[in-house]
Amino acid sequence: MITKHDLRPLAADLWEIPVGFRRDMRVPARIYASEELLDHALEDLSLQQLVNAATLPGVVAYTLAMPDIHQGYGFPVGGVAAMALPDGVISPGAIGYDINCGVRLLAAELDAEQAAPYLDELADTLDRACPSGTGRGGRIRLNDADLDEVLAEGARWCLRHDLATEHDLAHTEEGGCMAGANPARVSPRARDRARDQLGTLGAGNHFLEVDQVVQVHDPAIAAAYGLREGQIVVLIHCGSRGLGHQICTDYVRDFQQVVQRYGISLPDRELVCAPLSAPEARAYIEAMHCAANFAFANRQTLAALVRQSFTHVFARRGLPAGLRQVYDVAHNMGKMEEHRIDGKRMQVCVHRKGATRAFGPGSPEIPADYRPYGQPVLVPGSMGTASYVLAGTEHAMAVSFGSTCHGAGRMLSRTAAKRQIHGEQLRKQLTRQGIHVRAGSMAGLAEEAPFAYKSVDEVVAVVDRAGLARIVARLEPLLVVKG
Amino acid sequence: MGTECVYEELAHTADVGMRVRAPTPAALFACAARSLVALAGATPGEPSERRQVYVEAVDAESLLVEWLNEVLYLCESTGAVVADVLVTAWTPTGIAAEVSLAPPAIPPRGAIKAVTYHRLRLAEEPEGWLAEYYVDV
Repeated sequence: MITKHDLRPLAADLWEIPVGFRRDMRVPARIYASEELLDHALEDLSLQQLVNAATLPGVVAYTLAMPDIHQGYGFPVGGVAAMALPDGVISPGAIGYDINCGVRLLAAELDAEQAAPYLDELADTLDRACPSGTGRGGRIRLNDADLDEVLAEGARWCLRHDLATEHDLAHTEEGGCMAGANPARVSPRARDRARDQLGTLGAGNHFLEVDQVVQVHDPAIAAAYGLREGQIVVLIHCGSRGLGHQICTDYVRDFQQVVQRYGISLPDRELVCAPLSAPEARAYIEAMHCAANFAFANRQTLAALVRQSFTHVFARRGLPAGLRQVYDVAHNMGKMEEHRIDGKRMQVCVHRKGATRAFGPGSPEIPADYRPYGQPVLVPGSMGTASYVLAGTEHAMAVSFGSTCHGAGRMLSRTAAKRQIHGEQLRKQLTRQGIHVRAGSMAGLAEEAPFAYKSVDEVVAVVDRAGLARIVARLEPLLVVKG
Repeated sequence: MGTECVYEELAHTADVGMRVRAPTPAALFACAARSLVALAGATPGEPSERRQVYVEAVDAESLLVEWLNEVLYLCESTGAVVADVLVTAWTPTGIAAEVSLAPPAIPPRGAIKAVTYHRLRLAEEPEGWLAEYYVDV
């Protein structure tokens, strides 16, 4: 068990477990957290998993924990690790089962005051249009040829099917398409799980929210992102659905033997990996990119369904119904990137699991209209609290491989949350707060109770103080659709 | 399976697990499959279909993960849930079973993404066999 005594403070909100803490560590493990958030991180296996990640072959500089860190599988959620090319490793478990789980933000022309009388109708319309929960497939049934195209093209497939605009693609991480995706690397059962899931939210912590911009912290950046106080915005949080889960499952299984083949010893079987130069790693990367593309297409399709819903509810009343895409970020991904490490430019594979890319101003990966301000970072909170829009910073490029937090971070187990509140009770509580809730499962709703999460305000305050992102705007929910 | 199959939920910060007990490894694997249905919050209706399932793995622990992921896939791809399991052959590296599927009387409350190797346990104890597994939800 790791205790506070094993950590040394490096700066305000920054702690380190030195490389000597365990003999098999190759680099230190660093944690961005306030005292309070650090105490939460010490309550589960988060930091032990962060130390385990610091033993992986080819890991460079340090492994990193964001302030929303919590225990995951093998690798912590809220963890970041960079592996040197070509001999470092890639680990499917350090990217996660929900490959390219991420968040999309759409900004409405409408203000909250204009939308208020119609929110109940909007909630019903969105709930019908955007399938959520288990066993609810989408309206699109993909045949083999369609599926190959979605896996190879991502959100670009949606452009060809009138589900996207050029603006949407330009304002999506990677333009909504990871290059080098190879559908031949995806198993038949992963394909089976995908066929009716395009344009579906899924269950668990995935959701669709209609929020109001309640506070602009940085007017210049907010204006560049097209955000203003009082405005209605839509947050979509979901990923690659059964396809991504199955791809991760397939490669975690296959890599159990791969680690033996390459003589890699690991402290946790869930961290199985392959050298980046190995053909097995190439196969996983090509499959992982397919899952990432499916996730981009999924959020894009959901965005199209949300736009149809807004048109249905608002346009016929003569109200503005337009929704402009602010940005779409991934928070479960492995990316080949160049970073300055110990004064040298290096090609690395950055594993971000429950962590968001946060590239700073001037980065060529950022759309031209946002480039002077840094990449938008979308941080959903728990329903009933708040979410945030942040901007990436140059400091993040220097100290965190251009990474920051991804959410509030769980604090309480699902079992404990269900013990404390019933779903119906929670729904009523949220309704009293003025939040319209549509949920497929009351037990599922209870598992996602706001008190099960850390304070998102505290999480973003830490990354802002630490310079890993700058707070741009605070959003509060008016309407939540959950699986 | 009655008292031969006992399971209880295990807490995890973000996800959830199960501790499963049964008198033999074969009964344990059958019980684990049923516990997965309970974990999803589902209840089977009347069995409507039987499937023959064969799974192989490098060791017994991997076999448990592969077996449960197979069951998970079977349920997700058919929209059914497991009603009963008859294990016809079991070794530490292979299992053959007949799985009865049923439409859910109570549908799953949430999706299970995958069964993981996280804190995976499979052990023979004085009173029988024990398994612990965690799923990503």
